[in-house]
Amino acid sequence: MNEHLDDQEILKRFRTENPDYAFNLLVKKYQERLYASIRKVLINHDDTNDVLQETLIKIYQNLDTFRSDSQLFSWMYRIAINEALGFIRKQKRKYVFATLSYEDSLIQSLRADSFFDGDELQKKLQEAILKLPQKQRLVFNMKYYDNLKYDEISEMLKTSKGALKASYHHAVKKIEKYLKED
Amino acid sequence: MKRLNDIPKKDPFKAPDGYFETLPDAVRDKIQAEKQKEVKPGFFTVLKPYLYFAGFFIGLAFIIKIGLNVFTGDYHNQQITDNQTETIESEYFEYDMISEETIYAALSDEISEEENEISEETMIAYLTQDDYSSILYYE
Repeated sequence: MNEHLDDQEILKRFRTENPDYAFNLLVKKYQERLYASIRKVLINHDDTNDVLQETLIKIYQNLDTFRSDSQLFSWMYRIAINEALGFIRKQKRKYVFATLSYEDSLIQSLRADSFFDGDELQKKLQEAILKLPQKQRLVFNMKYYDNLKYDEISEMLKTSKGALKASYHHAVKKIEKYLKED
Repeated sequence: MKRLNDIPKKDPFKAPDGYFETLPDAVRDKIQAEKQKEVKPGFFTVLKPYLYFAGFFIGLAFIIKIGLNVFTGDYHNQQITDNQTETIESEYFEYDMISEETIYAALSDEISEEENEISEETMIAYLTQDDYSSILYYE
């Protein structure tokens, strides 16, 4: 029954009653959505697991500062994406002198992924997405998979709505071009 | 001809079986571990407030010492001592500022007076003596 508590009720319990119990409810409510968003950015499950756990710890540590005038999941999602981007930055530093780029390593990881649940066409679509520049890839995932509005993406990535629309349009064109090959 | 709309939209990434059942506990354990870290401060962290206190009292003692000197008159005595020091220093500077020429002139005057005194008496004695050996000797 508690699983269906709304965000405000969970927040109230976090602040007044039992924070650990309330946070546990919050994790159970949103863990799959957060996992899916991070996984599409990082591809690899182990990396996703590390970043998701760090994200949830940060959420716990900062939940007191959350202002109720915005959506709780948007706030959590933003922390998750920031953590994922921070993880990518660190990884890219490791690949500076490598013969393989970080993006190519993600494609290899995708091809070898035993947890990938899709056909060849789905795999090719993911490869096409991985070929996009990082920001275009992020915009595409946010719009196409996570169904975010341009306003929300604009606030998160500090980019104008016009630039985001153009970015998404270019991303779709590139993906379709890649899918037509072969 | 593949268009994006022709591909069914689905999330193809799945997590390992049982992952979401264990994740909340794993996160809770990590949070507890973080709390433990916060509870156990380092040696310097423990010592820091005491160092602040010590510094504060040393500073306070210093201020009180100065304040006592001012109000009990020690400060006035200190001022007199300082004035005396200034006088000695100024005398020293005055002596130091006497030029070399002045010193040489003073010395040469003394010498010439002595020479004059000696020369008149000696000259008379010298002219009136019979013994010319000294003259011969000087020649």
